[in-house]
Amino acid sequence: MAQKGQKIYLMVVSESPGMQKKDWLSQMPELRIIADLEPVFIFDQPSVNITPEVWLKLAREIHQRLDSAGGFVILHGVDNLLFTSSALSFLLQNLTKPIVFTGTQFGSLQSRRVEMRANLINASQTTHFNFTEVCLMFGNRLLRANQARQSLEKSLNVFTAPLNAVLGRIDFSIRIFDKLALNNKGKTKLFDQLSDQVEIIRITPVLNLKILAKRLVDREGIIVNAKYYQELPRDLMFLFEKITPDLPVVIWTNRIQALPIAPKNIILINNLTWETTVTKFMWAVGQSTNAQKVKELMLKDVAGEIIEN
Amino acid sequence: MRVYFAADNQAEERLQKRFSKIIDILSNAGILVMSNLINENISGFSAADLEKISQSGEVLLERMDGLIIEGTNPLAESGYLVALALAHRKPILYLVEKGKAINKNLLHLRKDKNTAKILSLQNYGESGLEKIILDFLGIVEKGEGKETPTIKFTLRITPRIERFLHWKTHNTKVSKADFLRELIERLIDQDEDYQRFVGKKEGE
Repeated sequence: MAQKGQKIYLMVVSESPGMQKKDWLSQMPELRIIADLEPVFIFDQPSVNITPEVWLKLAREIHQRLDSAGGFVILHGVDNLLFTSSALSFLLQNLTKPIVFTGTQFGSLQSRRVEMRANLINASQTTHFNFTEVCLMFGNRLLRANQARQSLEKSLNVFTAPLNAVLGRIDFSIRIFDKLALNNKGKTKLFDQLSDQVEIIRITPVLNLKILAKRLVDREGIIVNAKYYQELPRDLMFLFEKITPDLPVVIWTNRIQALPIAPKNIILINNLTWETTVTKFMWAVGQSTNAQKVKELMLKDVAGEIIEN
Repeated sequence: MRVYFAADNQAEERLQKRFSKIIDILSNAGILVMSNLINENISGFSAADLEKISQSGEVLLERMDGLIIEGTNPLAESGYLVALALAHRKPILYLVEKGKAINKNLLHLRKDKNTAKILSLQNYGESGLEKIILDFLGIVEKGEGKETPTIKFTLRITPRIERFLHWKTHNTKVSKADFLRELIERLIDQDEDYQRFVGKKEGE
């Protein structure tokens, strides 16, 4: 919660339509009446170009400002936003300040400007409340970032989340649902390592296991996107058991509840979003490449990311 | 017409009476008033409308025609409400009792000529209150602050274009001029090169 005299840092993590970098805030004088905002420019390309290096840079820049900050507003394009925000929830653990992502969708420049102004105002105001986690503020909802999904509806609510991860709503004023939002005390821990040696596989009938086996030689972990599958290909499971028995392998699925006969290195994930599965796995493998240790980390609730069924 | 009225709901009785008077003035002028002081707001929206607004991601303030704040006692949310109303170009009346200072951040906002058109900051006395509110409602009604076309321009068109414009606007409430204006507005919005040009000019 922002105290008197504390700054709200506005971390700009992608280009912003129609805004000139040098006089960013002077173009939105109304933001000044809400908070003492200070912009920090992290990345100035469209967010589709963001890489894990940008996530790490953002986490470090936030961590070094934690003491002087009341909160952080992150301006980010819609592309890759769920990856960046989920990653941040694992890179900065036991967070003691609110981090609120916002931005705009596509549309005419004029409508994007209005939408961005409104979203920035809502996000900045949200940092005055007492919660300490990574959230998304688009339209009229505040969502836990690592449980959010892109909305399929055409709406200013660009993202959606399970009811338990809707942390606040706006009608005329902002209401935060205190019982749902995390409120940590103590010291925030910065994790400075992510493994980028993770192979992501999508199951399809044309998956070539010989080519795949060659690709896996230097990998530290594997994620299999098996979203709509009810069973897993026998040859693929054989490869994981015999060829890569020491590599942690995440099977991400919506439909499989359990794998009764599975190699020890298999980690079944059916209660995380795709973006959270990828970023949590990169974080977990960054801590240890031991398959058992990675499994423990993946199954543990680290930052409120586990979706209750 | 809908107006959102916000004031300190913990204020002393004297001010509470004043707030009731403001709501009465608005209601008597035929305005649908929504307020943080009223338990059951009558918005004129059906439950289905409200659900639709919620699903669309809009904030209710976007559906208001204007915002009135009685800020004699500091209201925690007044800055937020003013900022949001400005972002959506909604006219704002910020009232403070005579003899009390108006927040300097709000006074500073009035230096911007676009903001000054829609942000009215007023010290009021008991006797002049009704006139101030009714004048403000006149501004809301006229849509002041919104850009109005004032430049005359003669455009000669071919019979083919004339026929198309007639066909396009016949039996609609849109005039040929409005149709063309909207078309040009859309072109302006979509022209990224022009937006960059304007952005640069504004940044200089």
